[in-house]
Amino acid sequence: MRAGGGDPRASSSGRTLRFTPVRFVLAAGLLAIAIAATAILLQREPRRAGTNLTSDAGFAIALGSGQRLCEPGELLPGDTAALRLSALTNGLPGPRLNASISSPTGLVSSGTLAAGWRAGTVSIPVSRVANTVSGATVCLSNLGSSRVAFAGSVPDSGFFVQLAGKPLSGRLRIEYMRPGRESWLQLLPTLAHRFSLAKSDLVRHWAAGAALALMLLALVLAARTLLKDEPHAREDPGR
Amino acid sequence: MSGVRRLLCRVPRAAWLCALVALANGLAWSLIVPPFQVPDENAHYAYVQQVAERGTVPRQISPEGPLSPREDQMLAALLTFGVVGHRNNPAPDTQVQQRIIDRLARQNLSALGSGDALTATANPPLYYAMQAIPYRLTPGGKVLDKLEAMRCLSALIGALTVLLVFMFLRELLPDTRWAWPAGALVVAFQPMFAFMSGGVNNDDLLYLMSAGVLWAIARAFHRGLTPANGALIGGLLGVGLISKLTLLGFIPAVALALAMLARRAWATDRRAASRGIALAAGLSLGPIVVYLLINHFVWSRTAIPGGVGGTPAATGRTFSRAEELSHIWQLFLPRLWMRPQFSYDPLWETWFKGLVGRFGWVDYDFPGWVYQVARALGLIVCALAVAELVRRRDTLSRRLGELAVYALALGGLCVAIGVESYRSFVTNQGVFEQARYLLPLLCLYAAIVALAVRFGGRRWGPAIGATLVVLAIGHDLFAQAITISRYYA
Repeated sequence: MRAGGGDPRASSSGRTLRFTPVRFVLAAGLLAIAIAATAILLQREPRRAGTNLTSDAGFAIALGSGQRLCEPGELLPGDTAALRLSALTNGLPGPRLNASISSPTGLVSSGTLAAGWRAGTVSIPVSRVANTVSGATVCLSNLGSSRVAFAGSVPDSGFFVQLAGKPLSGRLRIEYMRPGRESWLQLLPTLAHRFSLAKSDLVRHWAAGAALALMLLALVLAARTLLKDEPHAREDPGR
Repeated sequence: MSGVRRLLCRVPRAAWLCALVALANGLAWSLIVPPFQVPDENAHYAYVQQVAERGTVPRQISPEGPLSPREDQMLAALLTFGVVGHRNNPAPDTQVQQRIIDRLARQNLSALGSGDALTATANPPLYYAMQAIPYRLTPGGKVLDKLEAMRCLSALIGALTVLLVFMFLRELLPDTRWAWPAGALVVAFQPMFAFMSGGVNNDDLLYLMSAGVLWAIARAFHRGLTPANGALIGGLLGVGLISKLTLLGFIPAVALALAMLARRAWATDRRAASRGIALAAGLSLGPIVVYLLINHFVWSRTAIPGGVGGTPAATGRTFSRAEELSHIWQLFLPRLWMRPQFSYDPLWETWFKGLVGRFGWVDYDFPGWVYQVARALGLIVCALAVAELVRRRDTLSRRLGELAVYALALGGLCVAIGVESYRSFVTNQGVFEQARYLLPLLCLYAAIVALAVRFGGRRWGPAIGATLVVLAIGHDLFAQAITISRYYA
């Protein structure tokens, strides 16, 4: 058997590379890592466009039947197509919920979640918002007959929501979701863009590529070190 | 100078390669982890800023004083404390947030703060003095540029640590050269170590100096206590003590090592042994004594806040020596009959799971199954290492003293951590301990790996080594993947 990845002169001179245990382990191990990485990269799931950085301190904001809650001051990330919230319904099927997002210039997006959803993480689909909107107001309306409690932080210093027309110190935790389900592979350009934000100007535009190149370099150097120091069984067999 | 060059030339090429691996990995981590998401990085940055901008060390200000407007506002623009501790909150991910950061960076805010560097204030200054060099060399006044330059120096320190780990293994197991790179590479890919190497934290210099002290001890056991070897032990310990006082935990081990080495050398070369001891003692104590004097008389600050002994309890608890001993014991060992000090099992939750990986400000980790797999693998590696020790019991019996020194280094470090943990527990009921505090023992971690590799002999040992390195690579890449998912997905 001719092993790849070794001395390129081996094939041209007709010499076969010995498939030593170290070479076998390195080849099999790195292949296993590559397969695992590929499997992870191909996993398709709903992906986040962003969050409002509010902690989930329990189901602290209750929205009664027919009530409306508005949360101003949101930074709505581009590519948002759903709002993900944590909600509790006291064992009942969830009521119909309406979400609307407006900016100072008018309505940006809206959508409705049909009744019958189960407590836990819920996503309210909204029409896709292509670009980031700052200073957005997110409103939720309970269009059903049962009460629902949302996760968020109450009180939350500096933040107020309007609940049934009255101010309440607190904030809903909202995760803004991208459209559909995407694999990590599909998300890579977005990840590379996010990777370039909030970093030093010296590195931020090439940080993602550099991190990848550095890890590849580390792997190559590690493999080379192990192969270089491999004792030759033929020269000195056994213990 | 030629002596240093000769010394460097004697370092095997494989050691440099292992160090390069660690450098590449540390630099990759420095790019992956967002600014100020390494534990206390804001405080360590503030210390460096104080040293670089004012030429002085920080002072404790009560109540805690503000950092410089330049740093404080950058921390706010990065939403740092909305991200720290909230594993579901990503790093800033919109162009709008980037524009806020850019706008702030263009403002020429003051780089002078109150003089307080939060949790880093009481630390010795060596690491920060070193970091002041990249801070000053980075053109402009941008916080993030300076932080990245400082992170590069940390990665370099991490690379040198791996180099010393390699050299330690070379002295420890001189006839098993194929075990050295395996042990050093497993350390180079240890994700907690690499994560710390990619950030600004004085622990990085502590790891380097700890590896240096253990290497110097192993070297002296292997080659004898010469004046040069004594100076090496003392010098590295002395420099280490002014990097972080946690290294005080190594003093009993160093003392025991010197006593045994002196006893061994006394019969053959009494003069060289005496000079070795004198140099070790002088060089280890000199820097710390000078530091304490300057600290007290020039900088007017305490080296250890609250003093060395009992500490005032701010939470209605009283300081008790018996309880302190029980606390230290339970922090690392099974509780036995003692009054419970922890509501969880620190050995598993803090140390094992933490060393396998708990990143950021201890706010995200691996899925639960990873720790179970790591436990199984860890037990196998330890079993192989123990089997190797049993197999070589004749050699081991001749080196029991050296083994006792390493065991004492482990014990001493645990006591140093335990004392700090109890002080924190009494004063503010806070959880002090984090797995990274055990990383000064990286040499021993590598030694376990190298012993396991050696168990396989020349035939299978290298394959065992390669297997462990591949597992470490997978572990490290998985840790980077969860980090990317944590901050950017």
